[in-house]
Amino acid sequence: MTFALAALALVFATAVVTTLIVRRPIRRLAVTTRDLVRDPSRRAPALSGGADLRELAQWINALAEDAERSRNALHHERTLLASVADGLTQGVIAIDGERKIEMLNDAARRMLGVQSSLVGEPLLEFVRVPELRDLVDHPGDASAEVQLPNGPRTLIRAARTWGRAGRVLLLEDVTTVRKLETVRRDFVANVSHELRTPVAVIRANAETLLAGAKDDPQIAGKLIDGLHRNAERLARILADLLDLSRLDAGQYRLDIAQVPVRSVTEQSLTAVETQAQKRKVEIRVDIPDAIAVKADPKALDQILVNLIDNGVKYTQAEGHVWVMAREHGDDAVRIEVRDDGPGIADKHRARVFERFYRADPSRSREAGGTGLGLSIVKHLVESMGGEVGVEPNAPRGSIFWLQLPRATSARAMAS
Amino acid sequence: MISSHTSKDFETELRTLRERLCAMGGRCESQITLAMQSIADRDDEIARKVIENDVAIDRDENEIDELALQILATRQPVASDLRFITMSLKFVTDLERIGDLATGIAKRALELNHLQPLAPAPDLGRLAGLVHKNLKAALDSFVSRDADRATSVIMFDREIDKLNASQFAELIAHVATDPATVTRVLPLTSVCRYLERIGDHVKNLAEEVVYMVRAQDVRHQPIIPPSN
Repeated sequence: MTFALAALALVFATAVVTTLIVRRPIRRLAVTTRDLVRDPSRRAPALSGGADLRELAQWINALAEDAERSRNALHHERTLLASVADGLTQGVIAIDGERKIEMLNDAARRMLGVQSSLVGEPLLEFVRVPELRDLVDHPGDASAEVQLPNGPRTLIRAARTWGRAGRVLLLEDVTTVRKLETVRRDFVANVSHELRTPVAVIRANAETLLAGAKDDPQIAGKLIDGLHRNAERLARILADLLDLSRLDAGQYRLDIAQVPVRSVTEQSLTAVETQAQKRKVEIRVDIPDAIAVKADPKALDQILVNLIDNGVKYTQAEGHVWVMAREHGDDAVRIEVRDDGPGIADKHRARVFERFYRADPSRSREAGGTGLGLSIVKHLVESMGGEVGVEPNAPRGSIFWLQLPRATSARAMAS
Repeated sequence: MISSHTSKDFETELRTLRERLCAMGGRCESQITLAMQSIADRDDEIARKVIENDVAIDRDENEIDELALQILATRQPVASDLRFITMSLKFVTDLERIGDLATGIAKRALELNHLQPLAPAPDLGRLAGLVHKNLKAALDSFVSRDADRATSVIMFDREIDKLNASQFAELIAHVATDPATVTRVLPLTSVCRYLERIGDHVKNLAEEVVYMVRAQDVRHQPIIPPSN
């Protein structure tokens, strides 16, 4: 009996010891594996247990190395994708099946006017553009041009699907393209109108003369006068167009010199005096003697004649035009031609320097302009390294201004 | 936050309702901008476009109403979902009125564009800017379910009323100094009134957001400013 009990105790003790010996390394391995999951750079230690346990540890290490490699590769892919997407000028937005934003690049953020990442936010609730919903719902490729709230005019293309129901949207800012299209369309319409009108008058007058009016001296005189005036107008338009194309091609020869602004202005005034007297428009000049610019004297004269002539033409009868010049900063001179006419509406102001652009077509043609004067002014000023612009005058009228590089003062030149 | 649902279809219906309300709100925002642009630029074409676009807002109202009623009938929602759907029925009415008032502005623009501009031109752009900003904030508070932001929108309506009163007085002063300006001033006073009424509808939208988020009816009650 005693023997049997002793044997049982021995078996029990052996079982406990064996269990402890086997469990210890397994426990150690479990703890290490847990740490390894939390920090993949760690490795399972070499175990003193049996061959099976050592092999298990080795495989766990191999698994950890594999996971770390995959993780690094994923991180690399993500960084690469983000860099490529952020480098694009096109906006890219990827949404999941729930229409929540998965990714959006810098350009898309700029177009939507947001600073935060927006990842995870519902796209159609944040970007409240009705057309966008139709686009996302569309099963195939689709595109729509929309005005983003507080953003640019944008062409959005729902180009690709990804995953089960995700979509990739491409956003392209088309503001400039549309503006250029409008300019081109208006130019073609305006140029044909400007050329067609005098040609139509010339043709009609010539036909009437040929049909017998040449024998009636009273009517013939009027018709020939019309022929002459319209031929002159055509010649003026062609001369202006030629000047512009030369300026465009860089073939317009400019002889830059130090030019005293006051004396050039006085010379320019002689060209517009008759018109000003006819319309009883008073021109006041306020230009200190000492102000001089680096410019071509003939080009500056043409610029001033165009601007002062415009002022005289578009201010009401008995109105005023002011010509003034001041030094602007250390190295520029600002010349302004102001008038107290009806002014230019905001929407036209940015476009008055375009060829043949008319803020008020009927009045401009009546005033006899070619529609090219301000384009020539802009080209000439820019060719001489200057800037030109227009802003509203207070309480009414417009201020056409130009800035040219400053020269040594006229007085210094004289001395 | 609307709790998650076992029914995927119900989730999709609620999401569609939210998206459609947001799109309709976006349409109203753009209508106000365009209507004011048609006055500033004296552009009849833009004004006519605003009048044409109102059809889409009216259609939105009908379709969203139908969708909300359909969800109510088929899903019998409770708690926050019920509040969201009932508020959407009111939300849509306010948005439709905003659309109508923007159309009203465009119609006044068509009258004004054929009259000599007033000198100096009154600046209604600032009032329109504030109204637009508040509408955007109300819609943002709906999207982010932010009752504090909605409360700020409700409070900001007072600023709009104040500016409206001063602009209105400024316009009337034109008539006092030169009675001949009355035909030009009258459409502008209407624009002023329309903007102020858009402001009131924006306030209603914000009150509906507070109800949706907090289950608290803040209509006709003194406003408690947000804590921060």
